[in-house]
Amino acid sequence: MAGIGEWGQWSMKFKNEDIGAKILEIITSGLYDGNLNCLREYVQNSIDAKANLIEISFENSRDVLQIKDNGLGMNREELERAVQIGISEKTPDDIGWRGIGFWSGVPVSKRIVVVTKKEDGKKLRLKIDNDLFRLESNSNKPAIDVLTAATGDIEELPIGRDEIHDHYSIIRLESILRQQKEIFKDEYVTDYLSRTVPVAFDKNVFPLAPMIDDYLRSKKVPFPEVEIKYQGEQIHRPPTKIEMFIDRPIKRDFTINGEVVATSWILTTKENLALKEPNAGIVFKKKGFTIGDENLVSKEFEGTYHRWQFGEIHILSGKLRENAARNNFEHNNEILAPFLDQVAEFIKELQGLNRYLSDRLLSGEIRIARKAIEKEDFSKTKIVLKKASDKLSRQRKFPDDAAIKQIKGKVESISSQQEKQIERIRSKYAQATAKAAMVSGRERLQKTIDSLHPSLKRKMKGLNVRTARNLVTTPTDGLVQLLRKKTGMTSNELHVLSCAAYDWEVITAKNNSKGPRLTLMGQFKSNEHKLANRNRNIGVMTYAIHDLFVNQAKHCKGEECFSWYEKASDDEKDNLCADMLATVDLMYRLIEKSQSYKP
Amino acid sequence: MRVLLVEPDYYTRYPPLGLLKLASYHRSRGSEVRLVHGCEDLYQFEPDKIEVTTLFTYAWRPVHEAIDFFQKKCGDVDMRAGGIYSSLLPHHLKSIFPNINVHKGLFNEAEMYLPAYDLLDDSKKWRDWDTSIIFTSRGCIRRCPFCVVPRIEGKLKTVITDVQQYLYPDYKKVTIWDNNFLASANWKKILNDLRDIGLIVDFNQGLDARLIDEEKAAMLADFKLPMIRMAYDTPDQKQSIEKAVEILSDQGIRRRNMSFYVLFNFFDPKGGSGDTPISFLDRIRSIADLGCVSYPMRYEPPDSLEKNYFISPFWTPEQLELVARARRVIGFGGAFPPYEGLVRKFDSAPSLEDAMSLRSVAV
Repeated sequence: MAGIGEWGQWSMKFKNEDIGAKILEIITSGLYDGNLNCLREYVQNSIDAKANLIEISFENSRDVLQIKDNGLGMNREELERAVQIGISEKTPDDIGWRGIGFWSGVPVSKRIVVVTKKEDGKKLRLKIDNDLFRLESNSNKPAIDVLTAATGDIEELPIGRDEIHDHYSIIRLESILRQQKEIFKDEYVTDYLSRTVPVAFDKNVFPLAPMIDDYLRSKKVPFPEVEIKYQGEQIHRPPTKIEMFIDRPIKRDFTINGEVVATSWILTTKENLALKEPNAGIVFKKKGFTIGDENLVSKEFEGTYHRWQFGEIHILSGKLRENAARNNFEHNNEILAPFLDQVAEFIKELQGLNRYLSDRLLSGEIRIARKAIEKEDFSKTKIVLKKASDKLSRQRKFPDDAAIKQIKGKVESISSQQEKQIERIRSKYAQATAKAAMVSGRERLQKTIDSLHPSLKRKMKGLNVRTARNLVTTPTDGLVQLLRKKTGMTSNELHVLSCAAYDWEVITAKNNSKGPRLTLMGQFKSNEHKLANRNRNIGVMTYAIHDLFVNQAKHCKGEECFSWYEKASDDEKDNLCADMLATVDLMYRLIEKSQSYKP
Repeated sequence: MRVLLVEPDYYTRYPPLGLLKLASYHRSRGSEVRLVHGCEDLYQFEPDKIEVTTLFTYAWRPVHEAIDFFQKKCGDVDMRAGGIYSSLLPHHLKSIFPNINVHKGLFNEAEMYLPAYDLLDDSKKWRDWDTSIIFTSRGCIRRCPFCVVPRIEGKLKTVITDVQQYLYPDYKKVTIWDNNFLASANWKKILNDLRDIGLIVDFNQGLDARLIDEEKAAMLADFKLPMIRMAYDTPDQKQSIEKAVEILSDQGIRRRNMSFYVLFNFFDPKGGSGDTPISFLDRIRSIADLGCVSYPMRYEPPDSLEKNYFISPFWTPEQLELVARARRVIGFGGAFPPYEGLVRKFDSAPSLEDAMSLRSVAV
C-alpha cells in the first residue's frame, strides 16, 4: 500500500480496496438536493445525445418512470462508458460532463434500466440493481465490487421490424420506491421540468416569446431545440400569464474584459404587487438549464426583496461553470466575482426602478379604491386616494442604468394612464359621498323620530320626516305642557322666568330690537369649516331651547331669524331637524325625570 | 418492439396475472404492449411478438381459436404460449400449431415485476378489477397426488418479501395466491406488513389446516376475513382439521366463516386408491358437525380435455350428478353451510343418496 518515494518519504498509493463503497452514496444521494433532479440529469444526457424529442412518462400507476429520447443512442462501448463514474467523454461544452448523472435514479427506484439503440445498430439493455447498490454502498466493501455486483451484463434485445433504423435511449426507473411516489406527483414534475430544463415558451400565452427568442439568438445564447413532453403534454417554460407585466423587457449584457459573458431579459410588474409562482424571480440559465433557483439571484438584493421582476440571465461564457449539484456556480475562476458584482449592481438598479415604480404606479391604489367604492367604504377610499396623491407628489428619479431606461417611456405612459384612472375614481368618490350624505341626513332624522320619547311623540301628531322639516310641527308644545304640569306655572310666568334667566328684557324676532342676543352667523354650505359647523349646532340647540319657552312669532315665514333655515339644503335641514328633535327629546326626558318644582 | 398479449376467451374470475407480469417484463425491454381478450381487432397495432396465456386443460378450445385467429391475422409473427394447458399438454397444442413456441412452467424472469394492472383499465372485461394479486411464494411443501402445483411449480420457494412494492396503488384489496401461504418462510412478516397497510385481504387458495397454530390463528383473526378457506381432502386429516377449527374459533373466528374444500371423485391410478362416496359423506358430515361450511370439489385430472368427463372407479355418474344437483338445490352458492336442517339431514342419512336427496328431512 505504501512505498519509499523519491525523497525517502512513504508515499501513498491507492488500490481497489482503498476506495470504499460509501463514496458511492455521496454520488447517488448526497449530491442532489431533491430527488426530482434525476429528471434533469437524464434530460441533460438526452440533449447531449442530440435528442430533439424527450418523452417523460409514468407507467402502471407510478411504478415506473420512463425517459425516452430520440437521440443518437449508444453502442456497447458507449453504454459501458455511460455508466462510468466521474469519467465522461463529454467536454464542458456539453451540458452534463461529469459522468455521474446516470446514477441519479438510484435513490428513488429499485432498478435503473437502460434500453438503447443506434441507427441501424443493436438494441442493448443494461440493468442496475439499486437495492443492492443501496445496501452495499453502506458497507466497507470496495466501491468497484459494489458497482460490479449491482450492474448487470449488457444484453442484446431483439429488434422489432419497424425499428431497424430507429435510434433512441430509454431510461427506466423501475419500481419507484413507495416513499418517493409523493415526490413524483404530476404537478410537482410539471412545475420542476418547466423551471429547470430547456423548454420553449408557450407562444399562446406569451406574445413576447418570438421577440425574446430572437434576442437570445442574436446574442448567440446556446439553447437546445428540444421538445419535452410529460405524460404526453408538451412542457413550456414560464411565464404562464403576462397581463401583470410591463410588456417591454429590460435587456442587458454583462461584459467582462470586453467579452459578453452573460445576457438577460427581465420583465417587471406594473401592479406594484409581489409576483406569484411560477411567474416570479430571476434565474441563471446555462444552455437552457437553470442553475440553482431564483434565490441565487435574489440574494443579491439589499434590504427587503421585492419580487417585482421575472426573467432569465443566460450564461454565455464557458468559464462560468455550474457546480456538480448545479445549485450554484463553481467558485474557482477569476471572472465569477466580477460577474456577480455586475449582477448585484444591476439588481441595485432594479431596486431603484422598483422604488420609482412604487411611487409612479398606482394599480394597487386603483384596485383597492375601486373595491372600497363598490363596498361604499368611503373612509377607506379617502385614505387610498390620499395615498395616491401623496405618492404622485413625491419626487423620484428614474434609474440611470441604460438598460432600465429602455422601459422608461412605457413606465411613464402606464403611469399617466393610471393617474387618469385615479382621477376618475376621485370624481366618482365625490359623487358617491355627496349622495351618501343626503341619504344619511334623512336616515338620521327618521331614526331620531323613531327614538323619541313615546309621550312626546304622541303630542306631535302626524310627525314624520317630511312634516318634521316644516318647523310648524313644533316639538316644544309638549315640553311646555310638561313644564307647566311639573311647576304649576302659567306660560306667562315661564316667559318672565326665561327672560330673567337670560337677562333679556323682551324677546322678539325683529332684528332692529334689543334682543335676543342670539345670532346665527354665516351662510350654510356643505363644505363649511368645521368650527362654524359646531357653532351652528350649538346655536341651533340654544335657539331650540329658547324657542321652547318664549318665541311666539317663530312661525312667521320670511322672518330674518329663519332665513338660515330657508336657505339650507334638504340634507342640512334633515340634520338640523334631527338635532333639534334630539335636543327636545333629551330635555323632555330630563324634565320628566325631575322632581316637581315650586318657586 | 410491439408485443401482443392474448388472453383467450375462456371463463375465469381472475385477470391474466401472468400476462400482466409479462407486460411489465416487455416494457422493461423498451417494448410497447397491448392486451387483448379473445379474438379482438388490433386496429393499427402490428405486433413483432405474440404471447398467449392458457388456463385449465379442458379450456383448450378458446386457446386454439385465439391462436388460429392471430396466426391468420399476423402471419408468421413469433408466437409463444404459456400457462397451465401449455405446460401440461404441450404436444396437444403443438400437434395443431407446430410453429408455436411453448413455455413450460414459470417464467422466472418476469416474477420480479409489478403486474401491469394499468392494462386492465382499457379492457372491457377487467375494467372494474380492484384487487392486487400477490404470490409471496411458489410451489408447495406437500406432494398431494391430486395436485398439479408440484408438477408446474416444484418445491416451495420465496418469491417476494417486500409486499408493499407489489401492491397496485389504485387498488384497495389484495389477494394472496400462494399455494400454501402458511408454509412460506415469510408468512409472519407478510401478515404484519399487510395488517399495517390496512387493505382488505383474502387468501384465495385456502390455508393449510395442518399448519394452523395459536399464533397464526391470532394474526388471521385480526384481518376480519369474510371466510377462512381450508381443505379436507383425505380422512386422515380429521384430527388436524378439528384442531384447526378449535384454535381458530378460540381466537374469535366464527365457525360458519370457516370453509373446507372437500375433494371427491379422485382416483390415483398409481396406488389404485381414491375417495369413495362414503368417505366423502363422512367428511361432509364431520364438517357439518363442527359447524363449518363444506365446499365439494370434484376432481378433474390436470390434463383432462373435457370438464366433468372423468369418473373415478369408486363413483358412479349418477352419484356425481346427485352431488352436483344437491349443491345447486339444497346448498348455497355450491357449498353446504351448517344450516340446522342440513346438519341433521347429513347426520341421519344412511347413504350418500339419502344425504344428497332433494327431499326435506323426515322429522
